[in-house]
Parts: sequence; C-alpha cells; structure tokens
Amino acid sequence: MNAYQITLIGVGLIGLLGFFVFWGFLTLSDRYGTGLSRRTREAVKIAVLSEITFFVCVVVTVILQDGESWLGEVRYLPWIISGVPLALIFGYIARRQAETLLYVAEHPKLRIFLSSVTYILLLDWVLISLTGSAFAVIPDAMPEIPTGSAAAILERIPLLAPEVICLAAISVVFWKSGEPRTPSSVLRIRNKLFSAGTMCWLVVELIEMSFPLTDAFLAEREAVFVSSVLTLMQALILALSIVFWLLGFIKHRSRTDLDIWRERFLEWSRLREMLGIARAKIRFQSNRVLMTHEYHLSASAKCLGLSEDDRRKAILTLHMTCVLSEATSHDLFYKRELRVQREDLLKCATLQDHLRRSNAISSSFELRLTDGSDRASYGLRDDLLYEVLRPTLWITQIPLQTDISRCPLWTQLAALSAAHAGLLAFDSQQKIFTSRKLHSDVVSTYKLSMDISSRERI
Amino acid sequence: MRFRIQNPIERFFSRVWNPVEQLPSLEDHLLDTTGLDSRSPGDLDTFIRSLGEQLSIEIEVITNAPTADTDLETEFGVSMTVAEMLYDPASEKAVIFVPTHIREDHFLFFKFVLHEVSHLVSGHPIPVLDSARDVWWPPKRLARSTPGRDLHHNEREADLRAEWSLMVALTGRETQDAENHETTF
Repeated sequence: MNAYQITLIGVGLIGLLGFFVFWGFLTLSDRYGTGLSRRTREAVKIAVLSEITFFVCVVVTVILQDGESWLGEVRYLPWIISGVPLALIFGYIARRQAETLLYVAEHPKLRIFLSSVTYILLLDWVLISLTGSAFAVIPDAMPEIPTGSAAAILERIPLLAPEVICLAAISVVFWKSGEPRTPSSVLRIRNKLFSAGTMCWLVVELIEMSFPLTDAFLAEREAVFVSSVLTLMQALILALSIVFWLLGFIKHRSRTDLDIWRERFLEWSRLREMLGIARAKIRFQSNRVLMTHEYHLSASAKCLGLSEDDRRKAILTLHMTCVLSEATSHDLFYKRELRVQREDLLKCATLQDHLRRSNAISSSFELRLTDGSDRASYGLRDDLLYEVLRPTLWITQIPLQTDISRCPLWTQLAALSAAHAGLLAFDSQQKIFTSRKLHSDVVSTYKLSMDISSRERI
Repeated sequence: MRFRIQNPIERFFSRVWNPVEQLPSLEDHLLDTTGLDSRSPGDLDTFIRSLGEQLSIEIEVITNAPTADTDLETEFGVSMTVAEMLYDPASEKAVIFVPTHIREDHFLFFKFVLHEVSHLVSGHPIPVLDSARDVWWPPKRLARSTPGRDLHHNEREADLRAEWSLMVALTGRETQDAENHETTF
C-alpha cells in the first residue's frame, strides 16, 4: 500500500467518524427536539447513511485497486463485476434520499432534478463497471490512460458525485428548516448556519473534483500554481465550514425553554392534524366492515350503559385501529398522502402530555366558536382523540402484551370490535376471542348485537 | 385551477426577485394581527368578528347538518379537501364551509377555520361561489407582505398562520409576545 492509499483511507475514516458524530448529534437532538420535522430528520439520516455507504465504497475500492486504475485490470475483474450490485444498492439508497427530500423541499422540480441525477449516477456506475469488464475480457483493447486526462476526471465523478449530492441535500434540508416554519429564531439561525457549513463543505468537494482539470488543460508550471491556489482555497473554505458548524452548535445550546415549548407545540399540532384527518377520512374509504362494527359497538355501548364520552372514545379507538391497519394505511398514503405510523400516535400523546403539564397553558384557555346555534369548544385537557391514542397502541401492538381485561370497559369493547372487524393481527384476534378475562357483559352484549343484526338481515 | 397562472417570464422574475419562499414568522403574525384578539384569545367569535370589521367583510362559518347535504359531505370526504372558503358575491360575504366529519373533531374544526381565516388575513384571492374560474381579491388585508398568486405558497402561509393563531389562542398573547422575550428574539 502506498502513501496515497494510506492518506485516502485515513481521510475516509476521519470522514466516517465525522458523520457518526453528526448522526449522533441528530439522534440526541431528536430526544429534545431540533425544530426539524420528523420527515426532515429522516431525510438527513438517509443522506448520512448513503454518505457512510459511499465512504465504505471508497475504502474498499482503494484497498482493492492497489494504486492503479482498475479499468482493464484482469485481476480486478471480481471487483468490477461486484461494482454492479454495489451501484444498484447505492442507487437505491440515493433514490430513497431523493424521494424523502420531496417531503422536505416540497418542490417538484428539485425532486425531479435529484431523481434524474441519481439515475444518471446509477447508469454511470453500471457503464463504468461494464466497460471495465469488457477491457478485462479483451486486455489488448485497453488504452493507455495518462494521468490528468479527461478519463481521470471521469474517474473522479462516480467517487465524488454521490458525496456532492448528499451534501447538497443536507444543505437544502437545513436551509428549508431555517425558514419561519421552524418556531424559534434561535433554531432558524442555527439551521441556516449548519446549511452554510455544509455548503462550504460542498464547495471543498467541488474543488476536489476539479483538480484533474488543471493537469488536463494547463501547462505543467501553471498547473502546479493553480493546484496550490486551489488547495489553499480548500483549506480556507474548510476552516470556514468548521466556523459555521461551531457557531451553529453554540446557537443550538442557547435555546430557551420557550423555544423548546414552541417547537413541541408546532410538532404536536401537525401530528394531531394528521391523525385527525386520517380518522375523519377513513369513513369514506368504502369500508363496510368498519361501518358495521361501528354500529355494533355503538349499540353495545348503549346496552352496557356507558357514558356518551366513553361511547365516543370506543368508536374513536376503533377508527384509529383501522387507520393503523395495513390496508387502510396503504390507501391513506397512496390516495391522500397521509402516512400514519404507530410512532406518530405515541409522539402525539407524549407531546400533548408535555403541553398539558406546561404552565403556559392554563385551564382557562380554550377555543370557543359559535357555529349557528351550536357552540364548539376545544381545550387540550378535554381532547377525546388524545385519550384514545395510548389504548389504540395497546390494542394494536404485536404480539398483544397488554392485559385488555384490566382496561376500562370502553377499551375492552373497542378491542373486541376491532378483532371482529379483522383490524388486528391474527394472533391478537385469537387472543381476544379466547380470552376469558374480558368482561362477560362486553362479550355477550357485542355478540347479541351481531346476532340481532344478522337475524334482521335474514 | 381557479387562479390565474403566472406566465413563465413573470414567474422567472418573481423567483429571481424573491428566491427564498417568504413565510411569516410568529413575530410577523403577532404584529400583523395586533388588536384582533388581545382581550380574549380563545374566543374565535370575537376574533372573526373583529377581523371582518377591519376588512369590512362579513365572515360566516357553515357546517353540514348530519343528515342534510350528504352528497356534498361525501364529496368532501373522498376528496383531499378538508374545508373551503368561498366568496358569495350576492350577499357579499366570505363563507367558510366545514363538513360534518371535520366539525366533529373540534381540534380540526378550529384549525381549519383558522386556516381559512388566515387567507383573509394575508389577503389571498378567494374562489367565488358557483364559479369555476373567478376569484375575488379582498380589498384590504392585515398582513404587511403582498399576497402572491402561487396557490401552494398561499396554502403554506395560511397553514402556518393557523398554527401561530392556535398557539396564541391556547396560551394567551402575553406568553408569546416578542416584547416579553427580548433575549429569545
């Protein structure tokens, strides 16, 4: 192994370490809230993951290629061929990144651009691998490639282009998170600083890509001069990048309680809206089974003498279970672009817990509006949907671990109804049907309601 | 599409002039809506009435009765639309329509009423009732920024303003007021 290879491996490992630190920062910040949306964090994480994959590729390439260009070298045939699946894996990751970025950027043109770049990149990798394989099969066809030619530039593209795309994506993500939608001005400044830091890093990589151009288009003496200027510029911009990141971290530490409170409020509000819309829209998914069991549930709740609130909570639990079921969640995503996951319910409930406990919201603050003769009011402390989020999670967990019989009657009723409607996993359904611990009145009333209904149909 | 589409040259210059999307921050929103809700932040009746008075327009919120207009209810239910505001030229008022399935969830009801009202605060064009193409531009607005014709941008702005209004309504204006948090802002 020569000095060049050792340096490259060193740079790769330092880069890898840097990205792990970056990843750790994001993960740690998740716990306290970053002001970035969930989708934004996902996008950044996927970008980081693809970046790490890229570094692993670089390190493996350097170890295997042994200082020479791999093109046309017969002994590197296994590597060249293995490059194709590797390119496919990388292409897939990069495509996921581009797709996820859509949610962040909300800009179709940017998405199209990123998708196109990814496909071109994928094609590039495949072509290089295939060309290399062809040269390997016919060794005489292999041309002599002088250093500093266009081929040397082309060789750098597949290595550095993914990194450039990843950095651009991360930069865009931070820039978008620096917009007013992020609640606190401190977080907005921090995200803008992070974006500037990443952009500087991007420029460093672009300079790195353009190095072979100096050898290709300039005389030897001029090339040496330009290269040294470019290296100096790289060092300065890299230093600037570190300054931006450090300032960003300093800003990150200066958040106040009010900043944290505001970002929690906004995240809760968006999650609550998404869950509310998903619940309201499932009735229009032509789901007859749900309607039927909603009817049985309602009738049983009345027979059991449950209060109006408990009856509504049971129905809401049934609806939320339906939202989480595989078929409905697929429909909600493809027809209405609503992706509801179990974690969203838990996060919404946890955030609402924080808000309910906070001093900023006193019980006297609630929303009121007279709509015709009806008066609607909403307070964080009397939100029925909030009250059913955790019971829904208990019912839908796989495998079913919660002892449903210890839950209130309305939860037992909702669980039984969801099991009859086929909204739960098979094992959970069987567990509920065969459970002797469920309140006998719940089971018998529900059965009676179903029997009466089937007799009426006959 | 109800809104007049910008021609490519107009769009190009608008992008060059304003490359980053400008959305109001909480501080902007508080300044824009000064005097609307200082007395009782959670009372949306007062909020909407005072907004109507400032803009010289009547605002009415309508929801479906559970049994009536089932076709309209289903139409809203199956579509991506959650609620809609239309301008009625006959009675010269802005009508906010919220379907029953959204009205049932009071959080959604308030959020979407605030969303639609935010279009008026920003002075966004409003579709005219019984017309597929016409829009009505409110003669006055509270926002300092000039309203645009980009439908997506307008929706995002209204969404954000609704979230700020919700935050202010549930906590009281004093908690969020910039003057009380000089160190934060």
